[in-house]
Amino acid sequence: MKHGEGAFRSASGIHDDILQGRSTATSVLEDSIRRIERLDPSVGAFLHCDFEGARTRASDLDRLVKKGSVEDLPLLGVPIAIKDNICVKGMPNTCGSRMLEGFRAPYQAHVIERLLEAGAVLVGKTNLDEFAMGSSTENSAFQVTHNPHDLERVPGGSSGGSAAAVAAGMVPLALGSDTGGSIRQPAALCGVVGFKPTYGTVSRYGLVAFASSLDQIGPFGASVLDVARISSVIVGKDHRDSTSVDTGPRDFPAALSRDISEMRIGVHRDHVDGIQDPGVRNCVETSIQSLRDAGARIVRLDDIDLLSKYAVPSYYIVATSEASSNLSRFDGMRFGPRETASALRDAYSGTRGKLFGEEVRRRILLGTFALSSGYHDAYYRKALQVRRLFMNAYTEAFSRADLIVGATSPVPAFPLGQKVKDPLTMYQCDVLTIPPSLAGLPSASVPCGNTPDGLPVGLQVTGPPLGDSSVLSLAFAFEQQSGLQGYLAPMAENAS
Amino acid sequence: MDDRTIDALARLARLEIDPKTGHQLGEQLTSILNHFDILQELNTEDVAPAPRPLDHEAPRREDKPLSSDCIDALRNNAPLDDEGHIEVPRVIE
Repeated sequence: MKHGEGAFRSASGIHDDILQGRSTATSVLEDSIRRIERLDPSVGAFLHCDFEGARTRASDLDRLVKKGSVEDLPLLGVPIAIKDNICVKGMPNTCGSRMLEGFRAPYQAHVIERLLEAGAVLVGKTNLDEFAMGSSTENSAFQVTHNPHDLERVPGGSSGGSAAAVAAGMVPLALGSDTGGSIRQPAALCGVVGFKPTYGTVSRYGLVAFASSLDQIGPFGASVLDVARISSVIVGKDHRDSTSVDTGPRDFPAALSRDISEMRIGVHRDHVDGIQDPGVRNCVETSIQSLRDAGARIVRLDDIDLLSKYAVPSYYIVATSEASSNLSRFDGMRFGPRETASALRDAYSGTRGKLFGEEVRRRILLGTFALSSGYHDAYYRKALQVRRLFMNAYTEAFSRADLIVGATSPVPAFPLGQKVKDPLTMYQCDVLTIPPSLAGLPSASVPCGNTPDGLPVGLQVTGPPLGDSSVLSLAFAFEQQSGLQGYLAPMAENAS
Repeated sequence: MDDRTIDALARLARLEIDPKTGHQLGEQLTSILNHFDILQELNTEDVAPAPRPLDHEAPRREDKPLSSDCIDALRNNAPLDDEGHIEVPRVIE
């Protein structure tokens, strides 16, 4: 469904309307609140809403606009939802876990500081798999999030709440975090744009750590232009994150209009021909053909071993090893509830055993095993060596192609409950998004059509390190061609 | 992965797990690790491990004291707080 004057309001449109007096931050916010109140009871995207705080903020912005004392803020009056593992001062930050029930963030994450400086209005925190561990958002300790395109299906994960909030037109933009695909996969399953910037270009300060060498904050939006706009705001050096990369100012929207015929676009069978689901495969093949028709040079990379069958094992060993260490801070002493015990060690074990959910406990044990004496070299070290092989394979691929395209997810949105009891099957959902994560590459998912059942399919565009601008440019060019800009779920249109 | 191994891992990870759940977890982890053993077929001799995706050295900040303005907020998040201190169970027997 294409939306023009219906549910979809672009961030740039909101910004222009407010600045030129055609609208106010308050009226934009009230529209967003109405949508949340009407649709979220059936979607379950939000864990916490702060409408009063958002109203105060919007009215402050309106006063500044009236006085003429507001600078040209790129996200002026744009309502934004935040995944509930990114700290917003004074708001809950549960990470979808009982372990952090009642916790309120004592400080702002770096990205939140940047959004507020840019004039954004924060409406609330969105649901996620517990500690961002999952691919369906079913691992949240608090609620199930439903896919706005089909309420009986998952929105993907782990940033499923953010993807669903955008797909249902509740907010034009949202932030998520991506460790092995947690932005791109839900973006694909919910039919919105999701972008994982190059590792290190967006500060992780204030993001609750899952796997520190993989975690990356990034945006969701209903158009590539909106995603480019917010990406320019959140990228940048931050001394509080030791892995932060100084890229200098990035004006992604200004760089979007590149000539597609200048681009060499790599295609690999593992990400296209090898896709088992015919609905997904057809959409991706048609997308590649349309890029070819538009003058892009398609380069087959089939002779390079992209190591696809090793992606899930290597990623899950690295990620769970890091998680077993990162999550040791959750012991019931400094935040969240605590299980009473007379000895410290019993209090730790009791609290963690009771308050962590099943998937988190499974991953902590897996990571503890991979790091333990006698197994470290065979599992953790081996996985890091394989990670190097992934990086080498991409170096070879990017010597012949400027960008790589393929499917984001091997399957469209699946029914709630279908995979949640089978961890290995669930892990396979990430098989196409994991390789760019292991190599720290910029990668986006952009809607590329629907399966015969009407479920959205995403096209993944991946670039070399710091090739974020090129990734967004190709996603933009594709979006212009496909006409899927501002594509939202039918429920969003019905709520207009 | 047998019950004893799960028990040892749970102790290392400070996770209280009842025996029935531990047994189920052991079966699941065995199945996952069997699948992950596919990595062993790759020759990684002389391949340097890549603990992070970017090969740059972590910068060091200047060693100087910084003030913190969120002590009260941190205390408010603690489950047990007594006169400015976070209360914990007995540490020394």
